Amino acid sequence: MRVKLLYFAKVKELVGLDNEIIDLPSSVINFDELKHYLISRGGPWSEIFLPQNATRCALNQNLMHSNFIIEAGSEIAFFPPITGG
Amino acid sequence: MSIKVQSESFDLNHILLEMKKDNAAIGAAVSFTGFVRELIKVPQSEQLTSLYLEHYPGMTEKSLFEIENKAREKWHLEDVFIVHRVGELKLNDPIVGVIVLSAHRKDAFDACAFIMDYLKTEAPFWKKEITKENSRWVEAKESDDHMRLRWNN
Repeated sequence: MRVKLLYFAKVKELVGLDNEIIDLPSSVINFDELKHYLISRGGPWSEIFLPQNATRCALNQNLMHSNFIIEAGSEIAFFPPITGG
Repeated sequence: MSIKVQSESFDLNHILLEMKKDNAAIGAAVSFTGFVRELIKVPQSEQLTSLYLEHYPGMTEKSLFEIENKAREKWHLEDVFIVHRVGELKLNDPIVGVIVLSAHRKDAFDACAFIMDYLKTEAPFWKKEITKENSRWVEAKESDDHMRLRWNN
């Protein structure tokens, strides 16, 4: 399953990318599994999910607060807590 | 109704008068402007020189529309305008502006505060403080979450 990942602000700087298109293994069908899959890539991906970074997630531009099912073509964004205004 | 995410500055007074014009249903206008201000309790060498605003194009506009719609469900509003700047801003620059027009002042006051409280916690913008020597991402404040939660009661 192919999805688009977006990274913003501090998360973008940690990862060193603003977006990437990845083909997920068939075992990854929800957010928790995606998180573990990304952490298994090591380096910055494990760092963005450290509790102190409090990384937030949006699915197709909706802020998510719990686990969710991933569908092919989804746009999944990772970013720090919001600080606008 | 209008939502703008832009790098250019803005003049809320001018926009407010244009929105009011000949709409005789409007009895109250409340506007809020947020500015880039200096950091408090830091040595001059660590003082802010500029602020960088990043956002999530698409989701930003969508979340601002949703915030406006939530406000319209809670209060009787004639018109709403929300503008937020992105990119590099200088000290004293306006960052964010909200105008709420309604028949009565309470609706306009409350809706304007509500929109700002939601904007600060739900619209995907991130601030980076740039000083002479370095730069750092601003940490989110718990007090902003409390300001938003007060509307749940």
